[in-house]
Amino acid sequence: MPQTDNYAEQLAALLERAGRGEWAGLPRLKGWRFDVSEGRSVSLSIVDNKLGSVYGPPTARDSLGGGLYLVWDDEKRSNASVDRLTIPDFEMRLREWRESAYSDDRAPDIRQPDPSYPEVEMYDAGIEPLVQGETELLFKILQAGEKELRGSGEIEFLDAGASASSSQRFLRNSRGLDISYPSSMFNYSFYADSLYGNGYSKRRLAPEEELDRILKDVRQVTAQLKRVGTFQSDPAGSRVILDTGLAGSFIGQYIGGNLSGSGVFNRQSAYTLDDFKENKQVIREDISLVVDGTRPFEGSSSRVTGEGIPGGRAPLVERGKLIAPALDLKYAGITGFPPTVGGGLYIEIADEGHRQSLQEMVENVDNGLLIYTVLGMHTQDSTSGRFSLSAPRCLIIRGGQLQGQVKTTISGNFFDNINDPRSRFGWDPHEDNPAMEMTCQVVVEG
Amino acid sequence: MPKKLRVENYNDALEAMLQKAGELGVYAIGRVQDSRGRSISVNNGRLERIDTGNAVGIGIQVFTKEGHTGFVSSDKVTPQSCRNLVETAARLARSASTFGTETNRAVFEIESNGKQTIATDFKTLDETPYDEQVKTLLEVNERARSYGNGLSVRSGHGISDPHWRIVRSDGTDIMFDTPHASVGISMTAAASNGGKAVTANASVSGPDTSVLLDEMFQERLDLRTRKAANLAQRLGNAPQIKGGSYKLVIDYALAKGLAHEAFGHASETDGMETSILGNKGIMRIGEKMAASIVTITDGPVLGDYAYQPISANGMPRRTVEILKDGILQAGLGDLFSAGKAGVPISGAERIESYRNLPLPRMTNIRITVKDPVKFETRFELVTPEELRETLLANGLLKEGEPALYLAGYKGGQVNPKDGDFVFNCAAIYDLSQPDLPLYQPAIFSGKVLAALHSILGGLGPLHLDAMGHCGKGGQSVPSSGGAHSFVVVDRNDNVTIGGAS
Repeated sequence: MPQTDNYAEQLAALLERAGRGEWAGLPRLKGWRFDVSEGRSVSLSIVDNKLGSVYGPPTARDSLGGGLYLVWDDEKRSNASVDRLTIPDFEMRLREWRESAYSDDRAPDIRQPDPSYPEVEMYDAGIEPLVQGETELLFKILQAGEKELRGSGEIEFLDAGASASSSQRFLRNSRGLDISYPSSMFNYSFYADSLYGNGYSKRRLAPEEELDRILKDVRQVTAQLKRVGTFQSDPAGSRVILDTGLAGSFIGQYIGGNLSGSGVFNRQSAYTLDDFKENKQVIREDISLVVDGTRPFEGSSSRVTGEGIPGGRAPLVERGKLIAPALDLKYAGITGFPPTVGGGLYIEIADEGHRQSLQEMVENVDNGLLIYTVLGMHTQDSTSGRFSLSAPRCLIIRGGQLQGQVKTTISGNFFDNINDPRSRFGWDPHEDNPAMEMTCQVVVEG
Repeated sequence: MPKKLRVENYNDALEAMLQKAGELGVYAIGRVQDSRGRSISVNNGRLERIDTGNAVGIGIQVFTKEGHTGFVSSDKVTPQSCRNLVETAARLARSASTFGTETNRAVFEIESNGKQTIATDFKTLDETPYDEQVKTLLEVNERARSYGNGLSVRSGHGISDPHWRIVRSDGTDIMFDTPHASVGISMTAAASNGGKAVTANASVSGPDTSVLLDEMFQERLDLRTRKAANLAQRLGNAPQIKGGSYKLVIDYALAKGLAHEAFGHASETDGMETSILGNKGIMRIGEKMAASIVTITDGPVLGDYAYQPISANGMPRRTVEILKDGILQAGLGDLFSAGKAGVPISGAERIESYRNLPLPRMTNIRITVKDPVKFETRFELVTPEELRETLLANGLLKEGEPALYLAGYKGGQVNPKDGDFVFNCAAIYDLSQPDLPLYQPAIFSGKVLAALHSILGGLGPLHLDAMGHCGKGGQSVPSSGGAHSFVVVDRNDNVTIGGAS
């Protein structure tokens, strides 16, 4: 494993010395916190059918870095990044940090360690040999994809990638917090003819059958997306199904984007702080949004945030009602709500055991679209809820059957969609969040 | 006086890298980055936080004689670590050859670019006092808040001062810096009268903290902030435009978006095998790709947010007329793919950090049209009414003709393989109506070539400071560009505004 332990020890010792005021002309440090990771990743790509070309060669990356937060004796604060040179250049860096120190009477103090931090599985030792140089598996995965997807002649251009990484995290503070643990990641993905992609991304190696499932999905959906169809949109609004990933993007952009504690407190959100205090109903009452860092081997798994807040599970919206904004220590202190645990944002639907599958949802649509990707999500204004997006490849659903693709723009207001009793959710057993069926304006292009 | 570059300090490490590469019989390109940065944010009149950052590291790409390649990066830039990195990269390249990976021998066919230092003389971070920055940013924030009742305002100022050094086995050893800075203001107007909360933005960019502290930039930012504040307060109750195809008038920031998304990416030679500007991998040089009044140019501009004089492979960055008078002339060519695409290397390779592999990218891309209409009113002071009058007076718009004015660029996206592009605006005005009703922003999407063939004309002088970030291949790099104050695009079935059906 990397030598971060040694680095963390040295950095902590230097910060302790700064706490004793050992550097002339500088006030002493009243408190400090750092969150440092050291790790290695390996990767390999296929770019435009070319395996391991200059744009995606076998690659190994080493890194050490993280963040530092200082509280000075005069209550000023500093935020800085730390890297490998922080140790040899410590005095120079300390003076730079002091120069950048600022007053903020609402900034948090260093947090007392909590009694416990949850154990969350985040490390697969099976990934370590790959990271240390036995990269044959990455080649084999990509070659299998190439054979399956291009071998039949159905797919002309393939882009793909595979990677593995492991790292060791060290979180320490001047009040005795001292947590360290390893984590790993394993990913691969395939993207066919610039039309459709799918992949695997978890903190553990993929089960062998996963690759076959993903390649089959890519081949089938890509074939569907190559058949041209016709679609007549309904001026009163058309039914569209946002695939699982896209539905997650909408929820993240329009609901998650308005839950930021800073945004809520500073009136830069669609929701006000009073809305949370009053548990205002803002979305449909069967929908909850939960931050969860405890799911094992997920990319978003988290034992503790960089500020020292223990991992866990916390609803931000429960049964449609606002419970709490997503808060760091500063805004938790300002708003009076507890700080938010680390983790991914998950959608939970109270379906009383009648969970509909994505497949069933498609079969129940008479005339609509299934949308996998949109262009332009990053240009949307989340505070208004409005969306206007290009959906260059939508699958037409007619009588519950997929009938080729069409290019459209879609528009509407997601706040209305998430409150609309007609909106429905459908689950794919391989995805964490559901697909969403809703009504919006559709303009067929070209 | 050009500054001393911090990357001068890595002579021993780079010498060790080259020596080890020679011993192993591989060609090496080393890319050292030594970056420093600072960001300050203010929220509703209070200093929110100050962040500082340093990043030092090296990326090493090696090539075997057959052209197999391996890449390594590390934040450790010492002689011993560089020797180890070269060994690892060479091992990766050789192991790759057993799996039949793609080869590329372009590095063996170029000549050394020698030893050079190209340093700017913009203010360094050491010459930039925090107190003055914080005081001015607080003033900027306070002023913005006064432009509307209950406006919530976030202001941010970021400065980055990356120093780079590119060293190759052929003796090339070039040092340069790419300083850039910006000030951004984001204003949210609360929902009122049954409308929605709306956020609008304003920004200025340049090479250093002058973007915050100099009067010229302050005045420019202030005018843009007033406009954005006005929009944020009016858009909450604005209706949705009917979707479809219209004649469009776009401002220079949107025109930069059009040039960048709709054309620039398609001209990058790494994707020529699948680009709409290629035919069997060869760029379609000499073919008509746009209206004959249209020229599109890309190249570095000193002091620009996206300035870069040297490529990530140590090649000089050329200014390229990609399209001249509607005819495709050249591509944004990198060392590895320009030759295959049939165009010269233009030194277009950029990287986000030493950890990344170079890709051909735009720097400052601009779209110009022949004989633009003279329009001297300062861009920030042009009203939709004055724009409409000028368009009517110059025959670019007929009374009652369906046409929309799209104002303010909010980002875009493109698929260069099929030519689909989108970008979003901040507001829409209906030019067919004398009272110029305001509509919600809507996505502007279409086919690259259709849009360029439909350009009818331009109005006003060139502006090149439309800043943004480009996210190709998962790497975010500063981008910039512009056009005349306004560009007119004729109605085309393949260019659509999203909206009500």
